[in-house]
Amino acid sequence: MRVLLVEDEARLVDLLRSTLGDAGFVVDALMSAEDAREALAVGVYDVVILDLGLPDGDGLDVLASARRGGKNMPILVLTARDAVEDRVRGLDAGADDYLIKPFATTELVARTKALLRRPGHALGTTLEAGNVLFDTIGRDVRIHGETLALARQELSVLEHLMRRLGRVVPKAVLEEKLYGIDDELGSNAIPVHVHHLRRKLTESGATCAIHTVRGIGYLLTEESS
Amino acid sequence: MPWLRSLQAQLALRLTAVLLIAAAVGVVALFYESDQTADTLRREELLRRAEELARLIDRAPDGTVWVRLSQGLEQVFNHPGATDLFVIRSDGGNILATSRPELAPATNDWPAATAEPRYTRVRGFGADSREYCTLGLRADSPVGPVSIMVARALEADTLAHTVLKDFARDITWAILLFALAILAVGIWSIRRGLDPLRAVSARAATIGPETTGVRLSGEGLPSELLPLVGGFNQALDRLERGLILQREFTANAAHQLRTPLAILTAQLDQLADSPSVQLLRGDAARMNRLVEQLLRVARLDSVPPSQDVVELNALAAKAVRGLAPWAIGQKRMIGLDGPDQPVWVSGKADAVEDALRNLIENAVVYSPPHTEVTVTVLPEGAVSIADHGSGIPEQDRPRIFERFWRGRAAQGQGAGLGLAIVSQVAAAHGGSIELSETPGGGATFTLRLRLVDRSEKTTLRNRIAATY
Repeated sequence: MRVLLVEDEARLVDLLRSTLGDAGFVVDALMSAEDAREALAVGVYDVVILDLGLPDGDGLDVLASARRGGKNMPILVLTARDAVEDRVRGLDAGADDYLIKPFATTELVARTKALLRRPGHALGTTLEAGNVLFDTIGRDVRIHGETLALARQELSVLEHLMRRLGRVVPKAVLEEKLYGIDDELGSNAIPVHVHHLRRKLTESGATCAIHTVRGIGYLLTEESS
Repeated sequence: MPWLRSLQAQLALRLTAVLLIAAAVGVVALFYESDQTADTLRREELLRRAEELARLIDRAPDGTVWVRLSQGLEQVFNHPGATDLFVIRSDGGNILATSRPELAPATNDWPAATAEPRYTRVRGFGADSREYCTLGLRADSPVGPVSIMVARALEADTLAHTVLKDFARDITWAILLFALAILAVGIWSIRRGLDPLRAVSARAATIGPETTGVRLSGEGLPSELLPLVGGFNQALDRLERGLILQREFTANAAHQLRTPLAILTAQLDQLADSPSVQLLRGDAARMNRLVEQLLRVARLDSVPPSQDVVELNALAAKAVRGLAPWAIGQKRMIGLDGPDQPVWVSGKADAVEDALRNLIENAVVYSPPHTEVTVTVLPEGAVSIADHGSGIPEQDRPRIFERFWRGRAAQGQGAGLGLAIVSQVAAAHGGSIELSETPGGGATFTLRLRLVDRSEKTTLRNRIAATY
């Protein structure tokens, strides 16, 4: 997967290049808005990581011109600005996500992958969390090559948790996704499905876990051990 | 005596003194003047009588000198208990005629009369001790040059004196009334003139570090006070500029620290795990957090509290969602409870969310692993965050909301800004932050904000809907 990294801080570029490289990305790094515009016009990238504070221009302009040029790859914005209006402007200009400096590189990688996991993007067909692989086209979950037998509702819950790996998915969102699969969606349908899913994942030695955020929803994390 | 420093008291005292002195001087002057006038009148009368007497002196057929008194003079000199007398002497000093033969010899030592009328006062004259005013005049008469002495007892003027005294008494009353009127008008003017000062003082009392934009208005103030108001406002301008510079400095410094910190953090993430690398990562995380909080403080300082309305359930859910991955990474659980109805409070979403994040982060840090931090939205417009840690010692409680105070954090976590931010947010929104004990042990912080009532809510909701 090719990622275009636009960042003017040389040391940060080096670090991100190696971190992203370790995570399996091929990194093209550019340090100016002008270069970024040219690269975006001709190159094909799966994802763009864009710093807003560039020496020769505003990253938001680069973002807007890329979108105007019909580029629809996910773009993650890096910014030291954190005022609300900046965030809003960034998202309005077509950014898919933003990270505020300073950030943990693991977070950057996780967010980048999450963007690619969205339907229609590079990782959208095969989701990965720990040792669990989810083929969204074949509707098939495998751990160590072995298929995990899951009900349709459980598959749907797991898919959405995997697409938003590391983030809290509100219970209401999961309920919405199940609407149409479960005809009689009781108030504790989701907890029941999560309970079964959790048991099945644990029994088959999955290195990811579903956590409950009581009152809000669920969170899938990769377990380090 | 503090009351002496009051303008009103000073004005009253001084005006009273001036008026009393003026009244006294006036009365004395009046008496003196009336005395002088009476004196002149007497002198003129005596002179007139002396001249008349000179004309009336005549020699009788027997050769003696006698005075043929007119009817008017008869009444003056020849009636029982007359207070006037005359003595006419020849050049040789012999008494030619007198109205009071028994008193005449006593006039021997009176100064000799001259052609120029001579007016004197004599005391202890004759048998009685009355004071007399006398006039001597040397004049030609049908019997040759004579010395005429006329005198009149001063008591004879009592009538005039009584009138004068009555007048003086009346005028004293008038002056006193006048003085009271002036005092009343003076005090009233000062009161009225300084009344707007009360409003200005009330406005000045609202000025604080969070409200540096407030300026005093000179409207309605007496012109004497305008320089003070102007000077005060200019001083506030300068202070505000200073404060803004300081805030900008803090914000800029924190901002500038972010890129190097990002590099440092990324570099540390790259290093192979080892106990010392983990410690360094912890340090970098603390620095990140400190920079974040400095920026939050700077932001809070520079943004005036707004009249926005926020929904606490949604805001708490957002804060919990945002922090849950981190809390779970720290092996802590987190849960949200709340009423089914929306809870609308007045507040700025960003600031309130910052406050909630700080409280939740604190609670997670001070909770034992595998316990739950419980966030509860209360229908009365409050959010409580309960942990099951060791709680906060009684002696630390008064100080935990101070900036850079690190009691619980002494073991090395946090910068001591979190709770100060929370209390600043609470204060800026007219709310409060309370600390209580979690049932079963631990600390519970409750952030209370101003509940917005139903009718107010509808309009504000519409306003918000219109802004987004």
